[in-house]
Amino acid sequence: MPKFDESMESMVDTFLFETGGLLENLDEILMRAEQAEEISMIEESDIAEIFRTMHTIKGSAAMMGLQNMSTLAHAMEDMFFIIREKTYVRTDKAALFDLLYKSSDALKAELDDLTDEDIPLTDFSDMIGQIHELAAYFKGEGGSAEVQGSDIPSDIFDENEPADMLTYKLIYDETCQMPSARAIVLIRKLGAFAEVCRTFPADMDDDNADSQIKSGGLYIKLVTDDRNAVEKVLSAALNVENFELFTKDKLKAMSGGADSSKTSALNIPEGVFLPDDSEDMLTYRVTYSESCAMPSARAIVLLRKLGAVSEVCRTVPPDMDGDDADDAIKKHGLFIKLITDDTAAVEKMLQSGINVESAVKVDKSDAEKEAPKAGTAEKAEAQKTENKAETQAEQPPKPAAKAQKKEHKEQSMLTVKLEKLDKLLDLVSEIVIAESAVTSSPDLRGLDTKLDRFNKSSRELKKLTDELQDVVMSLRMVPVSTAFQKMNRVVRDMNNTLKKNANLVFRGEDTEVDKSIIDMLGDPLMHIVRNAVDHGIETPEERAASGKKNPPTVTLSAGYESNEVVISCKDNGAGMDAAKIMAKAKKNGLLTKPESEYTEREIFNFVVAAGFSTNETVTQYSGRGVGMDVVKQNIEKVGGKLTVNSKLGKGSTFTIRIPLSLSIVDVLSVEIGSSSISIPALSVREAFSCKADNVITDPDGNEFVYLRDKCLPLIRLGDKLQLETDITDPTEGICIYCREGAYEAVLLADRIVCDQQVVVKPFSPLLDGLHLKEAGLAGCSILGDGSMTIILDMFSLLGGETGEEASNG
Amino acid sequence: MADIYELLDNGGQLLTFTAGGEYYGFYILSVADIIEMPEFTVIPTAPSYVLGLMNHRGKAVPVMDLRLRLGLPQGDYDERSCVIVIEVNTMQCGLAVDRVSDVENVTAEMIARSPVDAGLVKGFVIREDKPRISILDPETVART
Repeated sequence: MPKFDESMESMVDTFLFETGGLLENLDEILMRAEQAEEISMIEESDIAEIFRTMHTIKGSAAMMGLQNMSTLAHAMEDMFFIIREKTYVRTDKAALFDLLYKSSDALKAELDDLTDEDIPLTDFSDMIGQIHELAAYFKGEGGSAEVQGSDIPSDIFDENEPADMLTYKLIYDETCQMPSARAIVLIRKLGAFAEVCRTFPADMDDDNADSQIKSGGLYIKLVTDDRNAVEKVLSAALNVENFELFTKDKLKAMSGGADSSKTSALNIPEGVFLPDDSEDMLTYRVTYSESCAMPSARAIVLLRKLGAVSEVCRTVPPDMDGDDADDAIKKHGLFIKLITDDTAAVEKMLQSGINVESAVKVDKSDAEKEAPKAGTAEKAEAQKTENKAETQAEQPPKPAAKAQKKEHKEQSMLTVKLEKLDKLLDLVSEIVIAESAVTSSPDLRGLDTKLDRFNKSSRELKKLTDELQDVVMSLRMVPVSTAFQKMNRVVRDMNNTLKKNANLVFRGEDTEVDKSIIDMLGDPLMHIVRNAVDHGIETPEERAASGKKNPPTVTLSAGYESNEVVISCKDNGAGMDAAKIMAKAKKNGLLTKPESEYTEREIFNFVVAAGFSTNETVTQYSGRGVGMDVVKQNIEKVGGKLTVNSKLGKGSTFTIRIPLSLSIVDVLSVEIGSSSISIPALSVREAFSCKADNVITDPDGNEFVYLRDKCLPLIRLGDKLQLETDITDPTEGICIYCREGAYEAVLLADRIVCDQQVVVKPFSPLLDGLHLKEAGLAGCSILGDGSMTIILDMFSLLGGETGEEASNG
Repeated sequence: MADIYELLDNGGQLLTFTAGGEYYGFYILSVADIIEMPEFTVIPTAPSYVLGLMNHRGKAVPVMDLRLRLGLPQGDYDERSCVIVIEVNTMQCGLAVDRVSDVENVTAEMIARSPVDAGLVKGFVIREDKPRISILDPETVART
């Protein structure tokens, strides 16, 4: 069985995306809120934001039919309601945040598993119970917080309702998590056979609807021609335990004949009847059906119509454009005060208004009669619903302000599918190429006419297309801080359990990289950071024993190095013991050459091999030796590299190098024969003409260039890249002294063409079999005129694994 | 995504072309484009059957010489030579062929499957009085 309503299938993606985003956001706010010393000192805006987030998640989960997530979110929302309204008497910050993080993680995990039908929905009732307990503790109560009166809604029978209106009472079984959601579906179904006029509780979206239904049952008032069909639908409804036809007599019997015959509890708000209202002014109360999303809009239309037959003096609520008008109309109905000569026409118009459920004339005397009753009813409701009533009635500006703020937030960001951006980028590149094809068309060359205006326009065009290209390219770039920020949370959690008090420091977090790299980075980074805190950083006692005074720190840094993004995670912990790793590698049979031939660097890189863990005990965070292996594979999948370095007692560094796909690099373009080759400008130290006596050939045939007291290997690009060229004498070509990391060499090219900015495009994956990266090629780039240049991978070319023996030229 | 086995199982349209005097065919749904011989950018160190990269609508698409790719002797290109752009898992690859000949409807019965699983040729269309067509597997041809 699918986990969500079938009709929602198409919404799953959006739901996953939105809720995922909300949860990410929630974590960030939680982190910020946790900085506050006391719960009472948490920024109000943060609390409001958390509250709103939970509310949204609750709503969308319920819409998807995911009761478990929705209830959990609801519980969290309740918790924050207490915090927001400051109704707590005791607090326990640590417990609160622990629980909140746990819940947010649980929701995230549930999202991940959502599309996998083999995994059943998780039961969150334990966690929900914990949240409720904590909420009760906060409020200083021992037991259940809010006991709902199981009384029958006092206004269930309206005096003015037609005689053929039927009232059904439905009881949902106890296991039904969100009866209100079921009720919405049920009412929709009933719509086929009957006209559902009203329900109790009135608003299924209300927070208290669930508890009201659970305690008092659901009342549906409807008019139908086909009672059988309606009853069939009711009995077939999900989770409905039983239903009965509810009559006035029954109500009387139940309430012990108390004066419940007069039950038209019109909650008439203040301001409907003013002392100076003229005598012939009529007051109508218009109620809109539940399904009407924006009664205020309907009201505006209605009022305009009424203007033809009457003079509308006032309405309550007065301002239909106000944010709280909808709420007020839903709660009390719309009161229209008017003066007219034709009462019948007005009433007809009122009844025929769209979504109007009832339109009743109200007298002053009614209001007076109702006043005490309405007062008590309101009080009772206020007690019962505590939260909602307040926000809706007494503090209408609050939700309004909230809604506005949310709107602003949504407008500043826009999510776009990545493919669309790629397409845009391709198109822009084509435009740039087309532009240069037009402006430098060979047809123009032979023309004798003056092209002043054409040249001016084409310069303008070029400027614009250049700018367009820049903008489009920057669209895909995201600062790495988005990936780094998530690590805050990882370290915080681990500090709590491991008591290592590690600090997390960011460097170069505004380095911009392609979005796809950020997405891919999340998982590996988490593993590496966990590893650093768990294995790298020592316990405070151990640190004290080894005389380390500096605070335990994990540093995440990002930057560019030639055409790669380099992201490293450095800790100042215990470091790794090369001998210990060697022994373990030997035991695991990982050695491929004699022990003595391994360099320290190679030994440390055993750490990232599959199934390798020097930790004797498996902890909650690491130790099985699986993580780092996955990290390495993930990174290699995108053409990156993971290297490890360490110093015993000083700490370890994990470095990820990922090629910049689609990113702009400065290059020095040279020619070899007829081929255009580009050298990343970051690696280029200097270009010079070489004198014959500075070229040294040793007896083994290795060639060197002597440059200012340094002897540098000479790499003839023509030979190295198997390109045909006439220039073989180093003195005729141009020498380019390059350095990449620890490797240095002099490259020999025919001539320098220009330096320019290019977009590196990795070679098509179809060419993977050619091992171009190992051969020293990073990718290609399409230049403005449509031609292409090959970009070198300096790391492989100069020193990298395969470069060394070939560099003899 | 056009699957070659869809063609072998159900039949379909074949784009036929010649290379080194032999007839070959691609399932029409795996062909993205047919273009005249473009300019190439040589990929250093690549084997000779990889002609290089071409700029195809803003993308750097590798181009291979089909004759060399199939192990046939090298030939000269003329004005009827062209590049067939095929699409494999959304990645594009160009193949230089001698000439494109036709689009033919073939049914599953007309196709004799190749007993070799991993080969470049997945099946043959053999008809009387007409030259034999070898059906190429785009994926195997395009991957190096």
